[in-house]
Amino acid sequence: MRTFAGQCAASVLALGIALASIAGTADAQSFTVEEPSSILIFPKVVNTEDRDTVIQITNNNNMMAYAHCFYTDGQTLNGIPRWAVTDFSIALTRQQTTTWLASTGRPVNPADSQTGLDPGAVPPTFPGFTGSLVCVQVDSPFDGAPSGANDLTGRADVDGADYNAIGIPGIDVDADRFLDLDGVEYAQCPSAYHLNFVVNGPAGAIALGPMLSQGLGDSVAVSSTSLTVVPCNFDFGNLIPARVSIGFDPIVDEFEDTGSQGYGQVICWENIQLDGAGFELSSTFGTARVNGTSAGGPAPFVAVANVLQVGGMSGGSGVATTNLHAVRGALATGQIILP
Amino acid sequence: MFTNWKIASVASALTFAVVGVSAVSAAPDHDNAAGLLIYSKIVVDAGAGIDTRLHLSNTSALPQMAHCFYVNANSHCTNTGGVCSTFMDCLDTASNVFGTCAPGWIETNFDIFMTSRQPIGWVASEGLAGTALPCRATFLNPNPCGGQGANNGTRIPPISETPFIGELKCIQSDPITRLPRACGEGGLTCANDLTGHAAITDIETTDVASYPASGLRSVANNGDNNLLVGGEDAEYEPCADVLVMDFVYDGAIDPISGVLEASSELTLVPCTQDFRGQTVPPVTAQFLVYNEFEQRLSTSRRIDCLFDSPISRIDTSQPNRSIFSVEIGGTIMGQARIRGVNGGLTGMALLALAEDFTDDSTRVGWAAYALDTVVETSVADTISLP
Repeated sequence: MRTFAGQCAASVLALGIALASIAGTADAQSFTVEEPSSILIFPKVVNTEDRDTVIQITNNNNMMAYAHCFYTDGQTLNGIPRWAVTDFSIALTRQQTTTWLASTGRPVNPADSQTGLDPGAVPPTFPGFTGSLVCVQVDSPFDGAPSGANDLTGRADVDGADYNAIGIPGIDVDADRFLDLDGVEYAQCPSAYHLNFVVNGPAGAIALGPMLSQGLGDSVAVSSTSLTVVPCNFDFGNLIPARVSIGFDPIVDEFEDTGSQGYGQVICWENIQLDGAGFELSSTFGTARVNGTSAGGPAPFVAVANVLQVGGMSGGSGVATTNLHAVRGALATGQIILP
Repeated sequence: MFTNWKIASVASALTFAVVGVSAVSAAPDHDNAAGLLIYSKIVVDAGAGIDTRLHLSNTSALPQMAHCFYVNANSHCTNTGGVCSTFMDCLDTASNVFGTCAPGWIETNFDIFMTSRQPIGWVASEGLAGTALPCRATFLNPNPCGGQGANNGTRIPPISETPFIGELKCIQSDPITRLPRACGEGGLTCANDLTGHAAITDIETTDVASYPASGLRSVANNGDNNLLVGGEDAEYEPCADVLVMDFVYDGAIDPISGVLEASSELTLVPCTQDFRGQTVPPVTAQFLVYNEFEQRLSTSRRIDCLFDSPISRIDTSQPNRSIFSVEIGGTIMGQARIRGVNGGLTGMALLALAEDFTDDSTRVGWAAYALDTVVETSVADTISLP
């Protein structure tokens, strides 16, 4: 039987644990690419013939951490999104980091060549997979309830292009399967981002990468940017794909020439090339505000930018993936529904 | 029982109250526009064909000015004056005597004037000034780009020497005083309108490593030349107490290719810098390194100015013996928790894949990424401006 003093001690201890768990929580109402969180979203996971993805997830706490993860295939076949979801669970010991390849997953086999403690049976994605990965921290392995402990960080390497997983910190997380990204239960997702890019040239030509054209004479170098977009709503319970309409407004170049470009609706997952009349600007560098809308109002989404450079003389190419700056205060409520 | 409930309720209420308070603090901010941007790594090496493209954008509808500081962190030989990384680079062929490789810290400041919502980009080796400026006002054409403001007064110098390793800080400032814009009452009108990216490019292979600039948001700026970063009277959001680097052990085989070897470079920049007195108080970086078996090793390193090193040379000159080496770590991936003692740190990491990770000339690709951050105590840092 616990005594009153014991209850007090327990309360103080609980408070201490709560304080420790929230220490370092940045701007608890917003997403983050830099702090441990309770939900991780990897917007871009690819397993195609010539590209693969390394996933790395880390437990930042000195206690065990568990996560329920969902691969979502965003491929479109004959104009119809597949929206195929594959879920699995992982368990991480204190401060443990773990990794797997999208193409092979990670079986539980201590005798195999994979180093480190196996976090659980991670399935491989099937060939041609282009989509996203969402991991929700839970309080116990196998069908655990959602947890707001904010212990997870992640990084993805898409064939040599790295980006940080986008984190959604938990705030006041309850145990049901409806995860409200509303600034109360979990942080909200952004509905607008600042995108810095190297602009496309006039008449559809791709702009010269300035360094390549001015540097060592790689005369026909080209540079282009694309945007990988995932709506910040995931209905894993009913397998209903989420939608968000993407628009670029304003698009501004260095001469302050301003344009805009609508893209249309993104269903589930999309890689958007920055082309079209709105991106035919007069200077090399540009910036754009990327807005997500739905039913006339702001809609939440997450995104990463992909930069491709190709050298004309060398024939070499390089690709980089970077996280974006969000427009501060431009947030919208999303929801994740677990099975 | 009811009393116990009340105690629990008070504890819960206090907990949520603290959650609310904690929401005010934040770490270096890759997530939003900010009033102070830090590009942790600028690299130019003409011999190796490496250059850095920088991108700075004004997200405001009003013209803005940024006061920027290039920090040249090259070390130089005491005898020949050449750029060096170790004393072995300092052989004077005339006298056959080795000199000392002395660390250096040279700051060059300049201004960037941006029109409304304007992006500005330049290449570090070239700079940007004069006729290359996109919006140059003249007597006959005071608004060359149609909107408010012009780029006149912008003189971005090329970096001073090659090879070059350094950082860039840009502080949103008042165009008259060149000091940070003071916040209005309640911090409602703090100037936080800058975003930026950097792209380190290998010109020969055309590979690119792009990373977002770290931002520190102004929260209560008083407009003077001592910028308090974190702490009780913070003018800017704090730097991180702990940086978290998820990394691939040096020498580990890249899981995708199954052939290439991985190597990583870590760049750390102390948050406290005195641009007025041209000094940087040293910070000690403590490293806790965990492998996939949750085994922990540790080391520490003094950070004098800008620290940039292959991770397997942080703790030893023999990479195979490093705690960041796959031979010591025993797994492919690891986590390093980096704590700054006596001051905060910012930084980024660069992952390269090569046929031989000890030989840069065999590199076939690279990628840059930001470090995760944890703010625990919010120790105050200071940036002093001239």
